[in-house]
Parts: sequence; C-alpha cells; structure tokens
Amino acid sequence: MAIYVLRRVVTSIGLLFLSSVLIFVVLRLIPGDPTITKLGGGMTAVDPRAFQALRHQLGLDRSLTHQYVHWIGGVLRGDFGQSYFSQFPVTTLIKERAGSTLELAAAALFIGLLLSVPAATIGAIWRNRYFDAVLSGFTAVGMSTPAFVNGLVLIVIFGVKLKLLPTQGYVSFQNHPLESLKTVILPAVTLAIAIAAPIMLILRSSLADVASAPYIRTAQGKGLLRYQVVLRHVLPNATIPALTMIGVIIGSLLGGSVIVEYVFARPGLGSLMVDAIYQRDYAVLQTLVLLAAGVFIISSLLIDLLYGVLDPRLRVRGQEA
Amino acid sequence: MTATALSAEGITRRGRRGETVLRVLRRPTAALAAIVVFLILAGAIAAPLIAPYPPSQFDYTHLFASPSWAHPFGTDELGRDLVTRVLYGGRTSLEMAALATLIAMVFGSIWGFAAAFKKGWIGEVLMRIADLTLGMPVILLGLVLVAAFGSSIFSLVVILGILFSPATARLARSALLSELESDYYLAATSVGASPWRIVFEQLLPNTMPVLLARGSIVAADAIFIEASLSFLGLGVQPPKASWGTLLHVGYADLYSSYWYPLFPGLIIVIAVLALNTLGDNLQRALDPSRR
Amino acid sequence: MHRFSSRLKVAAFGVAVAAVAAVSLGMASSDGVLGAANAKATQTVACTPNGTLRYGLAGGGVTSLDPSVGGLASRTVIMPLLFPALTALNPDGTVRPDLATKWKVSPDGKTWWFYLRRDVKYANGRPFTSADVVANILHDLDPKTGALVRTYINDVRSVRAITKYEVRFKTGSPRANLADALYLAKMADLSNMATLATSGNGTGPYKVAGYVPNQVLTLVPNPYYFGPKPCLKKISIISEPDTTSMVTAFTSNNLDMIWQFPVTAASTIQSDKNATIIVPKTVATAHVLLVDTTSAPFDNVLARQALSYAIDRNAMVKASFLGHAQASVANDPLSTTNPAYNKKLPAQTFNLAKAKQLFTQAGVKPGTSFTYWAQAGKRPEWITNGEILQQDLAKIGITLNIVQADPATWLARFDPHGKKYPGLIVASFLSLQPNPLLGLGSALNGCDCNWGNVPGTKYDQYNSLVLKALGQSDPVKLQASYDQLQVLFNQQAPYQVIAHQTNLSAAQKKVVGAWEDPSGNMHLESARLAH
Repeated sequence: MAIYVLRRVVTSIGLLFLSSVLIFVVLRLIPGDPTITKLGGGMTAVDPRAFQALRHQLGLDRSLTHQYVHWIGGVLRGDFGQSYFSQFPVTTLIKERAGSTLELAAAALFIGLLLSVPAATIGAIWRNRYFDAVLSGFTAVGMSTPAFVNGLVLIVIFGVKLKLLPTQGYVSFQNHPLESLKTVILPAVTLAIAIAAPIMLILRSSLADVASAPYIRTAQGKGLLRYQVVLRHVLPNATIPALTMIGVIIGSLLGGSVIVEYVFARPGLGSLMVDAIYQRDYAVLQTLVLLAAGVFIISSLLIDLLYGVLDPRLRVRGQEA
Repeated sequence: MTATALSAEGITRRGRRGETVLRVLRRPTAALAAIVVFLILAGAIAAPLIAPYPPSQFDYTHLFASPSWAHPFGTDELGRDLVTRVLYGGRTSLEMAALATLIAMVFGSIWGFAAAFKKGWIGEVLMRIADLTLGMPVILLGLVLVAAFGSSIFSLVVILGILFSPATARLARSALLSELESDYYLAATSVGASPWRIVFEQLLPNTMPVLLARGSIVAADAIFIEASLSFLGLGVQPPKASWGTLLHVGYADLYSSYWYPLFPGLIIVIAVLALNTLGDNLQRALDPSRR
Repeated sequence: MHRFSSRLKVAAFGVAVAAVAAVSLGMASSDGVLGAANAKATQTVACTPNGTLRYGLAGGGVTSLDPSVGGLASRTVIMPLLFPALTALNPDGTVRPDLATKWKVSPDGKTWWFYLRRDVKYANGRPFTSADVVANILHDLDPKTGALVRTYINDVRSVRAITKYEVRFKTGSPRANLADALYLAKMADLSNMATLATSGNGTGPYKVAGYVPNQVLTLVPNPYYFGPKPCLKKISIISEPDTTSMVTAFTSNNLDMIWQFPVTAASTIQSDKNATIIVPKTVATAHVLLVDTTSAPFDNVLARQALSYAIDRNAMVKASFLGHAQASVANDPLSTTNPAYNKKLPAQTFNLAKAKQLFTQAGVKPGTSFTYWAQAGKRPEWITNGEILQQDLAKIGITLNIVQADPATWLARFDPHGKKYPGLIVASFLSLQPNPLLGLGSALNGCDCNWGNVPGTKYDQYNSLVLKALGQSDPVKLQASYDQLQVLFNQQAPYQVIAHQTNLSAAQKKVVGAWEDPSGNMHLESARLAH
C-alpha cells in the first residue's frame, strides 16, 4: 500500500515539474512577443531602445534556463510574478477572477448533477425502452451542440426577447446573493448542458456494468425491490468508476467555462487565460496553466488514492506490479 | 492450440463482429444516423455537381439577403449563395475531420499500444501524459497550437489529430490490455506462436473494430472543435470555407442577417449528432466491455 | 479572444498641428499670446454628478493605466477623463487651454513658454506644478519609455521649470504649433513609478474607483478637479469579448454607449428608436493596406502603384463597408472632405489592365503570390476586402493568399518599425490626426511601411517638406506644402488608402454631451444623462 502511494506521489510531482517546463518552453516558441504587443500597437515608430529596455525589465533578454530558474524559484517561494501588461501581481488577478469561475463551475456542476444523476438512476430502475431512448437522445444532442450555440440561444430567448435575465456580467455571491444568482443562471445552465451529457453517459454505462454483476443478482434474489437494489447496491458501486472520470469532468468544466465566460462576457479564469494568450502575457499564462495542471494532477492523485482505499483489489495489484 | 486453430478462432470472431454491425444497423436510431451521415458525405462529395451557383460568384446587389426561392439559405457578405457555401464548406469540414481522425487513430493507437506493451513506468508515464492532456481544455491547447503553427489546412488537420490522440490512446491501450490478458493470448504465447502472427491474426483484428467505431466519434469531435476554433477566428482561410468559419462570420454579422449563422450551425449539430450516434451504437455492439 | 485592438494610431505624429491653428490663426511670426484666443472649448456645464454611464468596448479592454505607453486604441477614452494635458482637443480638431492657461512663442519659433493654472491637484490631493510637467515631458522624450507622443515632440531639446507655474520649451527647429502637439502629452503622476500602470492618479475630472484589468474600469468624480464638476456619478468602461455581444448588450439595455461597432450592425442600431449614432465632424481615419517598401517587390514604386490600380475601392465600400465609408479617389491620406485636400490630384481608378502592366514593369510576373495578412476575429471588413482583392488579382495572374493570425502574431510580423516583411500586404486601420500635416506625416514613421530606409525614394524630399511645414505659419505657403506632399504621396504610394471611415459609435438617447473627434476617439468629459 505504501509503495503504491509513494509511486503515485512521485509520478505526480514529476508530472508537475514536466508540465512547468513544457508550458515555459512552448510559450516562448509561439510567435508573438509581449513587448511588441505592449509597446507596438500604436503603429508609430517606437525607438528600439524602448523594446530593449522593456525586455530587460521583464527579464526576457536572459537565457531560457535563467528565466526558468528565476520563475520556478519564485513559484516555490510563493511569488508568481506580475502581469507584463497591467503589472498587477498574478495572484491578485487570479484571486479576482477565481471567485467568478468557481461560482460558475459549482453552479454548473450542481445543475449538471441534478439533471444527470436522477435521470440515470431512474433509467436504471425503470428500465423502460422509451425512457432510455429519450434519455439517449437528450444526451446525444447535449454533446453535439457546441456550448456557444447553447449560450447564444439562451441569451436570445431570456435576455433579448424576454428580457428576464442579464446576459452578461458578474456579481459576487458575497456582495449580492440575488443578483449573483441572476447573473450566473444562464451561463451555468449552458455549461451544465455541456457536462451533464458526459456525466450521464459515464453513469449509465457504469450503472449498466454494475447491474449485470453477480452480486446484484444475489441482492435481487434476496427479495429486495428493484429500486432498493439500485439505490443500495448499484449506485454506490457505480460511482466509484465514475470518480475516475472526475479529471475529465474538471477538464470539461474549465474548458467549457472558457467558451461560456466568453459568450456571456463574464470575468473569470477562462477569459483571463484567453486574454493572456492573445497578449502573450507569459507571467500570467505560466501560472494559470501550472495551476490548471496542478489541480488536475493533484485531484487525480487524490482520486487514485481514494480508489485504492475503497477498492482493495487495486492495492493488491499495485503491490504485484 | 495449434496455429490453424488460432486462425480459425480469429476468423470466427471477426465474422461474428460483421454480423453484429448489420444487426446494429437494424435499430432505428442507428439506421437513421447512418443515413444522415451518408447523405452528408454524398452532398459534400457531389458539391460541385449539385451546388446551384459557382462558389466564388460575388453579387454586390444582394448582400446578406434573406432566404428566398433563388437563395434558400440566403446570401453572405459578398452576395454568394449560402447553399453553395454550406455544400462546399461541408467538403472542407469533412475532409479535415477525416484526415484528423486518421491521424488521431494512427498516432493514438501507436501511443496506446506502446503503453500497453511497456507495462513498466514508461507505459505509466505515457498514460499519465495522455490523462494530463485530456484534462487540459482542448480549446486552449488548440489556440496555442494554432498560434504556433498557423492555420493552414495542413497544420489545422495535424493539430486536430494531435488533440484527439490521447483519448484514442487510452482506448487503444485498454483494448490491447484486455486482449493481452485474455486466455486466448496466454495460450498462444505458451504454445510458442510467432509474435507477428499473434499481432496480425489476433491482436490487431480484435482491437480494430473498437477503434474504428471510436473513429466516428472522433470525426464528430473534429467537426466540433474545428467549429470552435473557427468561432475564435482561427479556422481555414478564405476563399475556402468550412462550416465553422461560416458560423463564425455569420455570428459576427448576426445583426445583418439572422439566417446566416443559423444553417451552418444547424448542419454542424446534425452532422455531429449523426456521427456520435452512429459511433456510439457501433461501439456498444463491438466493444464487449461496454455492453 | 481577440482582445487586442487593431486600431493603429498615428496620433503621435506632430499631432496637434491642428488644422485651424495652422491655417486660420495668424499666429505668424510674432510672439503673440495665443492660448486664450483659441479657447472655444466645449466647456462642461457645472452640474451635480448624477447617474451611471456604462460604456462598452469590444476586443480589448484597459490593460494599463500608464498614459504614455502602449497603443491600444481602446484606452483613448479614459485619457481626457483621468489625465489632462497642457492643452485639450476640441471637437473640430483645434486645441484649447487646459492645464496651461496661455502660452507664447519666440519670433524664431524655437522657444515656447507655457503658463500653468495654479489650482490643479492630483486625485490624491498632491498639487500639480511645473516640476510635474518637466518630469512628464522628459519621461515621454526618453527613448526607453516608448511613449507614442515622442514622435510628435522629438524636436524638443530642452524643457525647464522657470517658476512653479511656468515651463519653457526649446525646440531644435522652428515650430509653428507646439501647443497642438502637447495635448497628447498626458500629465501622469510620476512621483511613484511603481504604481504608474495601476493607480491612474491624474488631474482630470474623474478618478479611478475600481479596476479589473481587461474587464472593467470604474471612474467616479475627482473631488480635487479644478474645473466644473463632472456630470456623471459613475462611468464604467466595460470590455466585451466581441462586437456582436457588445451590440447585443447595447440593444438589450445592458450598455449605454458602445464604441467601434461593425457596419453590419448599423441598420439595426439606426432603426432603434432609443439610440443615436455618434459621428465626428470630420473623418481622419482610414482603412489602409501596408507594404514593406524596403524589400522586393514593393521597394519598386511601380509595384506599389500597380497595387493601387488593382484595388477596387468602390466595390469594397459597397460590400465591406455597406456604403458607410468614402472611397479614396486619389490614394491620399487626407479625405476628400478635408479642406486641405488637393483637388488637382490624378484619380487612381480601378484598372486591372494598368495594374498588370505596371506589375510586369516592376518585375512581378503572373504566377507570383502575395500574402494578405489580416487579424483574426476583428474587422471582418478586412477579410471581405481581401477576398475582393484576391479575385481581382487572380484575374491578372497573381495569387493572393489570405491569412488571418491572432493579434499578437499579426503585429509581430511587421512591427516594430523597420522589420522586413517581403511579399506581405497587411490590412490595417490608421487613425490620423485631423491636422493635414500630421495626416500626411504618417507616411514617414506612422505606418510600419519602412519608407524611410530606402535610398532613392522621395522619402528625403517628403521628410524635409514636412519639417519645413512644421515651422510654417503662413496659411498660403502651408497649403502649398500640403499640395506638394499629397502629389508626392500619390506618386510614391508608401501605403494604400482604401477608404476613409469613422469609428461607428452609438449612445442611448438619454446620453448627452459625448462626442467623437476626427481621429475616432470618444470624449466623455462633458457627458451626462438627460432626464
């Protein structure tokens, strides 16, 4: 068991390190230069000395290794640098936007689970062909419609035509709970549709897998009603494999939030990342991608460990390998 | 088991799969999906024959026209007929999707097979990299890659192919692993059958169908992501158009013509839906672990 | 996405030589006191601050509050609100006194004195004096700062605080209008350089109340402002991801004003009873095509002329701009409505045969290919122009490949000034100054077309004409210079002017007092909400 945990932790740290190097190098390979983007947009002849001075100030005239060491050193001390453009500390920028993205993600996850879990469970209990077909249909359409299309439709219906809900902006929940809910509903529903579909798919297939296992038949043999079987035995066992897909869900949430934040003009980490890419703000981008990679790696590590705890078979296999 | 018995078993399994495919197509949703996919492909291939107007015919007197008998989908910013643009756009979109799928399949399979064979830490690392890229938002990866390599059709196809390989790699690896753990394989190796024989008569034929069924889903994703990248302005360049770029320009010109983005958008949804449904049904039929 | 404004400002060049000041004022050679004479300002009516104005921008928000650096056009709206200068711009392109009450010039035009107001304070209460003027001017003149205004005042040799409220400038060559250039030198608070980009501390009618970079900038009235109290309780500068969502927000009443909306939305907004479209008095902004004049084939003037003949400007105005632009008749940076326009210029009509002939003479044979380099996600009109040009060039055997790149890649390909980009035709938008001399001066170092670096071009002649005109105050001689310059530009075609078009802006009917200057920038200093 201990070996298993150690192996996973070491691999994770290695991956985090690898990600940091990769982000760093890739960013500097892309054409486009933050100094040009910052100074050059005016189309007038800016003295080359200004570019040199800025490059020096941002440390971009040092060697790649030196820059990387400087950055990583800062990261390990908790100093993530400043945006090349606004000169705000990166941590401030992230803190400002994180609230909005977290609210959106939480709301979307909540709505998504609200839609998918009961539907999949009912489907497993009822086992009605027509219900299954309709469910498949919704899942399929949900996965086939790009998020920006969903978002646009919702904006046009609720924002422009009915004028019921705001079509953009963000109010933090702490400031004004009611306004906050109003601004988050449309984007959250859009994002929820995007993630409910894969959640439903995974849940349905793992429910089906578990339902065909021998121990379920035993439970049925014991005389339990179908819904009791599902709720007491099938669902708990089905969620474990579904947890492994949490990484993919988180990825979908973050990726989906980029588009949704864009469509709904909602400030957040997604739009921060897109702005940083367009401006080539290396400092912000490096930290954001590292953060995303870190969240993903750590969460999958935790899930793996949890899985190891919950499923004794894995522990044994881990020792064998 | 003798070598002959090995091949006999292999053939029977393949035969059974062929039957399964036909059985799948008898289900109404799958059949409908297959028909839609076929129609779309046919329309795209036959575009030069069935398009009502030449694709580069400008008409400055009918800019952003609403749908009419002359132009069922309306016209665009240069007065070009949108039915023609959608048909030709389909050629581009489907061509790119097909090539990207091919690249994703080949590259992803090699990746996954390698990870399956090298069970040690190499395999683990390969898979973790795949997981990591799955966790990254595809759109952002796409943005960065397009910034790096440009948005010519060639680079877009390669980029899309690379974006979809991790998921294929995972599938390829698990498919191969289940083969490698089967009694069948253990028996074959213990008997001393040559590795190449095993690969070509057992491993490949038994993993291929699963991967091919997945291909339909990858194609759907390729159309989807290409549309998203084009939405951000990074798709194919004029005068070529894809469904994604038509959607993008239509959205930018939304206030001149509501119809402009509607039809490309609709057809993207239909195509992706059909490919997803078809692939889904095929996968369920061919992949025993998903039954 | 495309969060980066493509509007390229040539605002830096000599700027202020405002048309009126140069042409009409008999500023002549005497040392008259001029400042007070052209004080026909749009003075704000004193009012009690009331209401919130939500101002929308698309494709690039406010990323820095440092007024001297960076060319993002979206920031220009905040400049008059936060950072006044010695002089300020009027709607007709002239300047009026602002932080300076009056100024005078020596007979030889090489020494200028500016006299400051005595009641100016920064938003944090710190008094504004001549020391601040000197610090700001020196900062702007320092090549390492990268200030845009430097191009317009780089002949300033010295700036000194004579007394607490008097500043003296000495220029290297005679300067007929320094006051006009100085409206661009915004007076920031340089006492704390570390917070220059984040504090927004200025002497203007408004001050910064909240700032999320690239997202929202909130302004409230500045209690220390020396002028009449501003009329709005709050201004929110909100950035939208793209023009469509900006227009949607406007039509659904989530925004009170929008700037630079696309022509395709013009008819929707025109038919909206609650909205007015704001236009400037004259138009000095133009859609252009840039080429590298230092590398083949466009180092040959015949190739540049050929390109001009291959541009079907009327079709482009019809298709891309839906008629909301004026096609350039003679490839002239000045629009035909500009009083200084040279009416005797030969027209450059659309003529593919002539284009082919000229291309062949320049060594560009059929089968050559060029790249049309545009920005992704913004300015769909450029793509439409590109497709029209693509078809037309194909008719004479030249292939044009259209490439859209994301903004940073797009800019880095031909910027900074001096970078070579052979075979590229860059689609761009130049915001020229209303003053004809400045507009014409854009060809020198305001177009990234590298014109100056090629010997044997008429660049030197053009350059010395401009320099001479800068010190010229006689209106007749000045117009003669303008005419000569336009003839040279027409012959040499350092860049191609497609059409003159303003930045389309709109406001809800309740918004009054906002105006757009000829360079396409919005001014909210006197804006208020009517009831």
